[in-house]
Amino acid sequence: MSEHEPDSSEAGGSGGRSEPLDESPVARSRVLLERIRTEPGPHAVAVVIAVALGLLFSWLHWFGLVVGGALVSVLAPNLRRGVVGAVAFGAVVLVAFAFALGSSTWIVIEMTPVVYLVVASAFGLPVLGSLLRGLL
Amino acid sequence: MLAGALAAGIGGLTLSGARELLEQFAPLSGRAWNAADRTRPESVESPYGEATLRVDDDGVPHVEAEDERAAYFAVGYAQAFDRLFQLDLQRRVMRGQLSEIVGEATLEDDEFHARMDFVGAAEATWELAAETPAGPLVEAYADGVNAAIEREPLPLEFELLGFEPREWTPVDSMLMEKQISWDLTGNFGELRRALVADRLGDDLAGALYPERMDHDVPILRDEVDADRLEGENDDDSSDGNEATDETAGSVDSTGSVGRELTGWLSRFESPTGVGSNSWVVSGEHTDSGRPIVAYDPHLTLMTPPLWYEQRVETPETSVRGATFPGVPFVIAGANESGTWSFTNVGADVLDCYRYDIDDDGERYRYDGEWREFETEERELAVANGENRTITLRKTVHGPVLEREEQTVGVAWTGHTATRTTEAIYEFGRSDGLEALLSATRKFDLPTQNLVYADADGRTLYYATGKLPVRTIDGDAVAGNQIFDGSAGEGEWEGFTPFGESSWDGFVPFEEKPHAIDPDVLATANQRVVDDPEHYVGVAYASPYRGARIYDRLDKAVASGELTDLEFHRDLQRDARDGRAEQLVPELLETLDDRDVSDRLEEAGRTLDDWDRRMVRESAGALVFARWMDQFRRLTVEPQFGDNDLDDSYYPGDWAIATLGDESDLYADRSRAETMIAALEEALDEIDDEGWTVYGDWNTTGPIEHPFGVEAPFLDYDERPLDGSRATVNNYRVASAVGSSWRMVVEPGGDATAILPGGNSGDYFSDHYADQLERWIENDQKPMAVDTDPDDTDTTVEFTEGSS
Repeated sequence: MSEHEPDSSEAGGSGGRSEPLDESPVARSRVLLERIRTEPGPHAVAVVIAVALGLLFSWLHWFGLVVGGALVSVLAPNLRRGVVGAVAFGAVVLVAFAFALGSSTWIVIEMTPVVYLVVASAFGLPVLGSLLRGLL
Repeated sequence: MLAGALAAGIGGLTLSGARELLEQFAPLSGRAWNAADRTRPESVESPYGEATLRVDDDGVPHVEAEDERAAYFAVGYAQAFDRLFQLDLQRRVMRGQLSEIVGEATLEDDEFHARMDFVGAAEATWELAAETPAGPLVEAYADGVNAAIEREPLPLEFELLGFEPREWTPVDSMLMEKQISWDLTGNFGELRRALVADRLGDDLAGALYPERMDHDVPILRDEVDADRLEGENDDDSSDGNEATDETAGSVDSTGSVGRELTGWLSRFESPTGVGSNSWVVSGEHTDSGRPIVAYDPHLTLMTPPLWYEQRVETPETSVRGATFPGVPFVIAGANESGTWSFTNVGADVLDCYRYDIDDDGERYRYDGEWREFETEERELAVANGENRTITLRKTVHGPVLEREEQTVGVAWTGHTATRTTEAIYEFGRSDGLEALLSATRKFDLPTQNLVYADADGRTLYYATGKLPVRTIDGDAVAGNQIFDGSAGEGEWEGFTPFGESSWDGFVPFEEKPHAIDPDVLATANQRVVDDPEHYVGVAYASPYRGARIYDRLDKAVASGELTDLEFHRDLQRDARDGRAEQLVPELLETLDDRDVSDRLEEAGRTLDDWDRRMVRESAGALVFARWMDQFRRLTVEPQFGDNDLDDSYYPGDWAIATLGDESDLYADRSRAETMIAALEEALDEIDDEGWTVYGDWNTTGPIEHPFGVEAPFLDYDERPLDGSRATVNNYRVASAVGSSWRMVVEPGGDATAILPGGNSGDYFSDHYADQLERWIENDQKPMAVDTDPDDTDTTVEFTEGSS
């Protein structure tokens, strides 16, 4: 569903000058996204940035976990890989969380049933966000 | 479809209850985690100058300062860091502000506390205390608490409940004194007894709630060899207040006030089983030649513990021991000179008054005229609900409590300005028995058995607190009755509710029960003395613990054994149950006399082989404990149930154990048949529950955090326990009451102590539960008063500056 070409009727410039289809901003973004999704080098850089942004947003608000999952998954070549990427992002979140807690980590692990919510949200919210990959 | 799933998922999370949970607990952003990395700062500015706070490896704060105010600022900071939620929760309870955070579920609690106007009493007390040397220290303490509120992350409970504490005030510290005093002396026993007498008759009520239990081990037993203070009234017959005259007037002539009011009020009385052990032996019976005091107060066990351990060293003194969070000064503890401890007397310091009230309910009759009730509107805030406004009413005696047109006025010694804060402060600075006695004169509230010993070898017992003298037509009478307030019966001369009292008509200090330099003396809430000079009360504990302590101390003295600290810690661990010694032979005889099933025979053999010790690995202790409860229930339930009296009215074990077969309660089923039936029921229960030993039932499970139901991780881990409600090693699994602090002190020598849990109330602290296992074994840690902490975990420097 994400494989169709952009609609050429949207590509008109403000001065009435026609631009080639493959030079429109959307088209350029598509090309860039495809490149990031398929070329290992750019893909790795983009994933690192996405994870960093996701962690930052997750630090500020729980919705950041959804956003983080979405960012990581959008970079994946397909939806399935996107979901896997979101799960991996959840794991990174838990590692960062454990690092932030320091010596309190073991105490939090004993906080049942709260710890179940922590783990479930760490994986579940990014996976929810990763559904975006199916739309883009 | 994916778009729909995404939208539904996000919408569901943001609009449902899940959002609140995620805001609390989502990894990284959840506000609960703000509390996970609370650490003390390296330095704090204090307006009172320099002080050092060192926290040792057991989480005990050691505060040192040249100036007392600087020291108590640091104490406030330390207590708030460790126990801020507890401080706030306790004052909310006493102020009637619990519903503001909890909701409607606690509205009745708030109504009771508001109607009793504990705040008014605390304000009157602060007005008096502010002018004493302790006043500026209480203010410095409050400033220390507020500094911690301002600059430290809040503990987890605040994050979970989503509120912030208000400023701490000296009145709040006075409220803590009122709270513990209420927990120890708030007793509506006369209402309960009157209701039982009304329903079951005076004879049965008298048998089940005896004014005097038949035993011979009062605290001041004949064997106690001690001196007395010289008083103005050493001639026993001079004031007409002999016990015989006073108790003669104890017949209830006014009837009960009704079940609704009595039942409602019983919810707010002292928790069942509140009591304590303390004893002292003189240096003649110790291997060091110095006296030893052992102490364990049996109060509500909770998470975190009720008590907080601290040490404060200033040029004047070094004092260490336990206090209640919110109270600046060590309450029970030791300094370089002496050690002091308190157990509950069971004195009657609360009276109830009935009135003639006019048809409109606006006025009450008093002193030959109609008087308006003193009224005040009070709004009770309710979280997620409508606030409620109530009208407080007071008479000349004190607050008025009402339920379904049943009304009593209440006089309680805590409802006036009291000097206990000053007394406790002076205890910490005392340098010997004379100084301590001087401070004890100011110990107005609550009525406690003070047990003291010092490095000079002196020992002391004194009943603290003000004891009212009541009169009817000029004759002294006992207080365990409902008085006719309109007729001016049973009034307390010199008592001004919510003001400053002269105490003129109360029992003079010299005439209260006491013993100077006793050789061996034990208090376990049993009757203070067989024939008191003045009426003291009737709410004494059964004598099982007192008898056992005296028995073991007597044996040691008789054998010439010189005791050490470990001897006394071992005595604190004693789990032999006096009820079993009374009742198991009778039960076994009953089984022998009958042709019973194999199951009952086997239970009989288990009990026969049992050593009467309530220890966790014992099968016999399990059978006995469950049988005892069933026997008590089956004995009283038929008649109590018929008369609409629930288990809160059941009599104590001593009354059941000593009840004869001729009692009306055994009219339909003999005592022997009741014993057999109780054993059947107990064995059924044990089988159904799958218990095999005592520790399967007797556990730390009931020791809960106030929000343990909502957040069970806040509770301590469940562990099997020794002890019963009748053993020296005291634990009531039904109400989570037990040894809330244990200490053994040789003044001028070694001292040890332990808490049931940990010194910190911070769930993420290493000291949240680090003493629990040692408490279970009574493996006490050092409680040195005159040295620096061996191992310092954290140091905070308080520096001059505006905090």
